[in-house]
Amino acid sequence: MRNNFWVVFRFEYLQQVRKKAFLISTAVIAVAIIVLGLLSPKLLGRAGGTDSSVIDGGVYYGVPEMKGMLPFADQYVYDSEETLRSAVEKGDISIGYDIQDEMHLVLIYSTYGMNEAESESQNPVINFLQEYHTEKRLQEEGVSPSVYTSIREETVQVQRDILGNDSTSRYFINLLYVILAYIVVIAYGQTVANAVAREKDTKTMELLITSTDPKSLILGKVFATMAVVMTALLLYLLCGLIPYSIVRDQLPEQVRQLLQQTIPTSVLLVYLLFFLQGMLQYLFLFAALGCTVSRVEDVGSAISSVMLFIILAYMVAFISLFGSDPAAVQVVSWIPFFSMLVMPIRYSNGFVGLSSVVLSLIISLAFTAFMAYLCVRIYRWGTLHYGKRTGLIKIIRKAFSEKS
Amino acid sequence: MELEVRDIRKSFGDTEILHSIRFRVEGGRAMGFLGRNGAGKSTTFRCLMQVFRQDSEEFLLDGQKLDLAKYRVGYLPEERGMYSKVKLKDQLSYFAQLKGESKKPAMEDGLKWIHYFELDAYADKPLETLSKGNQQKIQISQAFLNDPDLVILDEPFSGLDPVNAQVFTEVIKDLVSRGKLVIFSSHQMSYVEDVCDDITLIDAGRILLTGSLEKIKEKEGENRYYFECVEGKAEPLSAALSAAGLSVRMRGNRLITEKKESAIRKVLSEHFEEILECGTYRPSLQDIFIEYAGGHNAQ
Repeated sequence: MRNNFWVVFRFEYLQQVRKKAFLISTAVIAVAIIVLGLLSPKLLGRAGGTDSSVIDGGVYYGVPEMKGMLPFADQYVYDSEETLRSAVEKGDISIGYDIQDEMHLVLIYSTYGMNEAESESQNPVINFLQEYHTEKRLQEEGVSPSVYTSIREETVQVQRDILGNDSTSRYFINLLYVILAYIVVIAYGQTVANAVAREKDTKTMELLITSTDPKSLILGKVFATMAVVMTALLLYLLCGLIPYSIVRDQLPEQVRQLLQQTIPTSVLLVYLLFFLQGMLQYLFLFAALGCTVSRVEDVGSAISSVMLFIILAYMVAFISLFGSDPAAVQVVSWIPFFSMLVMPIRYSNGFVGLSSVVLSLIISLAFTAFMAYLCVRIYRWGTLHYGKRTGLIKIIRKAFSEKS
Repeated sequence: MELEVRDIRKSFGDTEILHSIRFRVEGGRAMGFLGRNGAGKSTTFRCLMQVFRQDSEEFLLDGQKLDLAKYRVGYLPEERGMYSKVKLKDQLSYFAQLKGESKKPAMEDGLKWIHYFELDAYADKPLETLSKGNQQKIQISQAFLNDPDLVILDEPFSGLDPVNAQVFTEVIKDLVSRGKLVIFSSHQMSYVEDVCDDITLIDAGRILLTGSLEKIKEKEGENRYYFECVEGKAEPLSAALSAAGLSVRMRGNRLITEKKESAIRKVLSEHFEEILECGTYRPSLQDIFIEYAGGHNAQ
C-alpha cells in the first residue's frame, strides 16, 4: 500500500479549516480577544480602581455621634434600620451596614457568597470601627495613640529566600495551560472521533482502506487535527499581541507586571512538548474510540468513559497548580494521559527536575507511538465491523488476534 | 495481464465462506462474477482487495503474487460511500491522489469524470446536494480514476437508471478495449451479457462454472431443443415429451429437452398447434444462472 501521509494530512487539514463551524468560531474568538484586549485598560481599571474615598454600600448609624464619620455617599445614609434593609432588598445597595455601636455591627447582604466572605477581612467599616474603638480605649488607658501607632509600624522585616521556583508567580500561566489543554483535548478529541465514525457511517472507509494504507489515514487525520489546533492557537496569540502592543502602557501596574513576567525557555519548551505529545496521545485514543462505533450518533457514548478520565487528570493537575506536591500527584504525573496536564505544572512549580521531565517525556512519547500503532490496528479492524458497539478492550484483543 | 485466483479459502470464525475459489481473468476480456445473494462474491473481492486476508493460497498476477501497490487499481465496493460534505472535484481529486496521482493531474482526472457523467454544474457542490443516482455516478467514477490497470466492481449497476447504465457499460467496454483487466459482479444479466466475454458462477462459496461465455452457451445448448409454447400449453406438452422418454426442463412457457429427433418429431406432429416456435437451444445467461445457481428453485 502507498504511503500517503501528506495527501491525507493536506486533505483533512483543508477540510477542517474550511468548515463553516471552524471559521465562524475561530473568527468570533479572535475578534473577542482583540476587542477585550483593547478594552482591557478600562475593564481592569474599573475592577481595580474603585473610588476609595467613598465606601460602597449604605449605612444606618445607631449611634448619632458617629454620623458622618464614615465616607458613605449622602444618598446611601439611611435614617432607620428598616430603610437600610429595604434598600438592600431592592438592590439599591450591595451591602448594608447597621452600626449599632462602636463594637456592634450588623452586615446586611441580599445574598452571601465566597466574594462577600473574602471581602470581610478587608472591610473598611469593620477596620474603621476597630481603629475607633482602639483609639478610644488607648485614651481611656492614658496611652498616646501616636506612640501606639509608631509601635505598630515597627513590623518584623521578612526576607524570602526561595531555593526552588516560586509557584505563586507562575500560577496564572499554569492555570492558563491546564484550562487550554483541557478544552483543546475535549473539543478536538471529539472532532477526530466523529471524523472516523463518519467514515464508517457513510461507508467511505472501505474505499479509503483499499486506496491507501491505514497508517497514512490515521496519522494524516490526527496530525491534521493537531495542525488545526495549532493554527487556531497561533491566531489567538497573534490576536492577543496586537491589542497588547497598543494598550500596554494604559494597563494597571499589577497586570503589566504579570504579563511582562519572564518565563524561562525550558518551562515554555516543557509546556509545548507535553502539550503536543499529550494531544497526540488523546487524539489517537479518540480516533480508536471512533472506530468502535458504526454511527456518528454513538460517538458520545463511546467517549464518555474517557471524558471522566480527562476530568480526573484535570483535577489532579489542579492539586499541583495550588502548590502542593503529594506522593499521589508525583506518581500520577508519570502516567501517560495524566502527564500532559500534571508534569509541566510540577516542573513549572519546581517540584521536579529537568532530567525527570525528559524521562517522563520519553515514556510518554513511547506510549504515544504505541497508541498510534494500536489505533491503526483498531482502524483496520473496524473497517468492516458494523452493528452493535464493542468494548475497547475486546476490540484491542480482536484487532491483534485477527488476520487483517 | 492475467489474474489467477488460486484455491482461495476464507473462514469467519469456524465457518468457511470461500471453499477453494479458483478462476482466471485475462486483460482485455471483461469477467462477470455471478452468484446469488450471499454466494461469496463480495468476500472474494474483499480478499482480492486485501480488505480481508484469505486463509490460504494467493492471487497471482502474471504468475507473481499480487501486490496491489504495484498496480493502478479501481475498486467499487458493494457498500459504497464518500464524503457527503466535500465538493465533488475535491473528493475525486483526493481519491486520485491516494491512488498515486500527483495533485494537478488528479484534479484534471476528477473533473474529466465529472464532465463524462454530465455533472459539471455540481463540481463545486458537496456530494450530499446530488440525487442518489448522481451520487452513484460519482462513486463509480472514483473506480475509474488514475486510468486503472485492474478494475473490480461490486454490483456497479445497482441504483443506475437504464440510460446511465448504458453510459457505464460504454466505459467498461472502453477499458476492456484498452486491454484492462475488468471483473464485476451483477444481478442484471442483460448488462453482463452485453459487456462480458467470460463469466464465473459462484454459489455458497464454491465455483460452479467458469470460462468463456460463448463456449459455455454452446456447451449448455449442445444436444438440446427448445419449444416455446402457447400460453397454458406448456404443461401438457411437457407431459407428452416425458411420455416420449425425453427429459424436460420447464421455464415458464419454454420447454428445454434432449435432441432425440425421432421422439421430438412425433410429439411435434401431435402437438403442432400448441407450439409457437422451436429450434436448437441456445441458453441465455439468465437460463445458465438459474440452471446452476437456482438450486431447487430452478424449476
